[in-house]
Amino acid sequence: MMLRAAVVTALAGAALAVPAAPATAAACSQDSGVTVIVDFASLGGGQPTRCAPGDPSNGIAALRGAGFTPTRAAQEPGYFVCRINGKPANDPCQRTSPADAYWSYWHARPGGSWTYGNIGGSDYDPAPGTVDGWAFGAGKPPSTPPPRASTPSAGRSPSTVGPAASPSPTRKVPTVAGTGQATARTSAAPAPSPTAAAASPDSTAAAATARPAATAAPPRSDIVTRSKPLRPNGIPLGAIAAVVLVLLLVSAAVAQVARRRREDGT
Amino acid sequence: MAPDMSWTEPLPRALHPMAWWLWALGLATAASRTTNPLLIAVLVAVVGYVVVCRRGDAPWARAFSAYLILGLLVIALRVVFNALIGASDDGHQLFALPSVALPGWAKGIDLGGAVTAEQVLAAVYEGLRLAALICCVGAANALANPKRALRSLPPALYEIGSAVVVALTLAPQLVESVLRVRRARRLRAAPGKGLRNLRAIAMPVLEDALSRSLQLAAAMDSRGYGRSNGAPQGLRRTTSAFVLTGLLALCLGLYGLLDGTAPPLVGLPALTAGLVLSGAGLAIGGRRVRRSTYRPDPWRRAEWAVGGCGVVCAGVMLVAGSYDPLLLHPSLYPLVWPDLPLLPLMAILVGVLPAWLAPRPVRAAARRAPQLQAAAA
Amino acid sequence: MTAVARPLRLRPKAVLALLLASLGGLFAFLWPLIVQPGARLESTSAPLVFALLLPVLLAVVLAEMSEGGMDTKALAMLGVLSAIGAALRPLGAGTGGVETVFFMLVLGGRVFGPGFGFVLGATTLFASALLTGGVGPWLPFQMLGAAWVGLGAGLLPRARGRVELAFLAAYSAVSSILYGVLLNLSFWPFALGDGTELSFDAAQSVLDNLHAFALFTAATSLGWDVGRAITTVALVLLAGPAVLAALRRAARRAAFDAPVEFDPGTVAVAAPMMR
Repeated sequence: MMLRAAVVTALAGAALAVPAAPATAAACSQDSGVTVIVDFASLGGGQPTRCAPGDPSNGIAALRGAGFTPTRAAQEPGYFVCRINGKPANDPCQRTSPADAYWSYWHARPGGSWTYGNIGGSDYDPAPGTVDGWAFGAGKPPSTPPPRASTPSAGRSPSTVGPAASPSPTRKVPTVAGTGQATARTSAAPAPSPTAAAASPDSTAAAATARPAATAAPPRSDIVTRSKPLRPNGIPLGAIAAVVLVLLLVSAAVAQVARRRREDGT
Repeated sequence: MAPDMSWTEPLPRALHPMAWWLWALGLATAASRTTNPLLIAVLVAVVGYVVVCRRGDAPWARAFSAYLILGLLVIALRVVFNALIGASDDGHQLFALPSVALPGWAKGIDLGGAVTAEQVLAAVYEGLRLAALICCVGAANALANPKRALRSLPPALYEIGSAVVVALTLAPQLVESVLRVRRARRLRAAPGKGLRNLRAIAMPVLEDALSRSLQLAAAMDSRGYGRSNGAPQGLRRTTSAFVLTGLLALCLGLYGLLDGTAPPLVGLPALTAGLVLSGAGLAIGGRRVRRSTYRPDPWRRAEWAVGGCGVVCAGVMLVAGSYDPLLLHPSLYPLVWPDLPLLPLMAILVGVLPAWLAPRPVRAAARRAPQLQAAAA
Repeated sequence: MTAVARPLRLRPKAVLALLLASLGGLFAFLWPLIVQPGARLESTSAPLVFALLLPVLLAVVLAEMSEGGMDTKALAMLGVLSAIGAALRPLGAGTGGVETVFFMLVLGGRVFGPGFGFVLGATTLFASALLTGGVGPWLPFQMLGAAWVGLGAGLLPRARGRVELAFLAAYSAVSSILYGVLLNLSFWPFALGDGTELSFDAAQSVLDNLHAFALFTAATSLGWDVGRAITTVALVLLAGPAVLAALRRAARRAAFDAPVEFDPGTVAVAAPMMR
């Protein structure tokens, strides 16, 4: 499912001028949420580590909850992540990405080792306190090991993850190994998108406030939208034109067949 | 048809079969580049219109409708499979089928469940594309004369081609032979139907055909067929060497393309070398055959025009697709109406021009009609 | 056993060409099981690439087999048997897998040998496609598959009478089903597309893909394949003895082995028999 070679094999070129990813390194404290690492290393970026507070309903919700913006392949049933924060920009995002240039999904215990996610991000429900990793490339795990939980705080129930649980700016450099260069940067503007707006209003905020209170909203569950009504987007002029054209050709063909019958009949 | 019409319009003749194939393959290439249902629908309508306008009376000219049905079957197969076992995580639910979990030996597949609009449309889009390819092939089958196309076989395949020509000529005669044997049996008041009767018809027909093959061989021998064995030993050895190394390179190339870890030299370069070597082997091997062509098919302006339409259509589509793939592949997530992009549409409409550019086909009925009118007058 | 004339002898070089082309053909049929995730051929392009390459393979091997000129009697026999096959084919087309074309292929290959059987398979399907307007990307696959069926019938062990009939019937059943399964396999990723649980997935192991394919084929074409096998076996058992006798009689009358050579310099020496 994840690895299927796509029609358009757009390899992720190293020439891509990828701006450094906003890295607000913050693993979740204990069970306060799901720690998410996105490895942009093979795209020339860093490996930002963030915390999706609470208990996100699935891997995609965790990704969003941590302030990343996934893009799904436009024609692929099932949520296939083809870009994260708009990268790689050269993936057409039609069907699944090529097998040597795609976002692979990994799970780990804090401080443990990565295991490949056999279930897609929209089906897997990460438990609070675990670590999710997304790595771009040919299916290699993120280059950083899963971080241990940040400074242990008093056990809180996930439901009360709120302002208090969000890491304060002073805790923005936790005991994470290997993300040194990434943590040094403060948040550049991540690709703004309507869906991510609620999750990352901090993009323009000053000095790396990792998770303000507003983001601790209940986990988004906008993946399953079965009850959404079918609503066409405006007047389908193209479709009408095409139908008219097809009808014209078909009626011309029918007339031609009738004429031929007449000729044969005489 | 009024007699003075023939001044304005070229005389009816059969277009070179390769021109029709070139046109059809060009449209097929264009179809394979898009999943936009609007473009595909226009393309199928274009192909159908050209077929209706320019097909002859031969039996194969009626093949197109069978291809249309085959295309519909392909779409139906895709939709049914996608609805039954496709992934439907999200989207707008159309209806829900009762869900059945298959046992472990069947991969534990969940049959049924919710069916979403996106899922069905994805199957329809992909199926439409495949159906369009099938329609293009069907159009070529309906328009191109296969017996004339046989002349385009390389000379090295002369014997095989001759055998196929014999087969094409004999197959209708076999039916005639069956009728003859049946008539003879009826005259002898043989019992009516049944398996035994079938055998009593089939065996004489077979014997008849086999003895006819010997007569044919004798006739060909007496007319000097196949006296071309004078290929020098050296030429034959070169041919074999080319052919065998070419085949080896082709196999290596195919393996290289299928195996992701093979060194790059084993892939495409080996395949190309194999093609070149095999082609050279065929060309050299064909030199032993010298033959003249009876009534060669000309390649005139109409052939250039029809073939050119196909090439232009495919070329523009390829360019348009590389500019903006989203135009040719409408989004399903989110679900939107597909657009009708202008440039690809124009490319497809170029494909309809052969309906006027190609000369009218020679038709028995049309030829008969003026005579009948003359007789009636 | 009387020495049966072989109208199309396979010289060692032709055997080599046949083996190489068959290897390439196997790639074309079995590619979904061979292809690996990073490969340059993808599930959307592979069938088309093979549909373009297989005609080249077929052309080369057929040219090499008929190199040096084919006997007119062999050519005429090839034409007649292909015509019978092509005329039989529309009889059963589409009606629940009733496929009559294999019957003639198996018997023809059996009587006239593997080389003739191979060529007969290819020409029969080709002629039939030309007659019915069935030329398409699938044709090279069908031609190669049918050619293998004819080849295999010629390679069956020697036997006569009931034993031979049993051999032929068993072979017909196996080859009919294998032919259908192989053709289905090569177009499976293309026909079904991806996104279903029975779809081809290059990343899965060969066994997983085989499993999915087995389920797919059971759900779609196995009925047709079994129908074809039953038809062919029934035809071989019912009409086999009579047709075999007729073909052998024709072969004796044609006397394929008699060298017709007027140039005293190059007396045709019977090449060693393929077997």
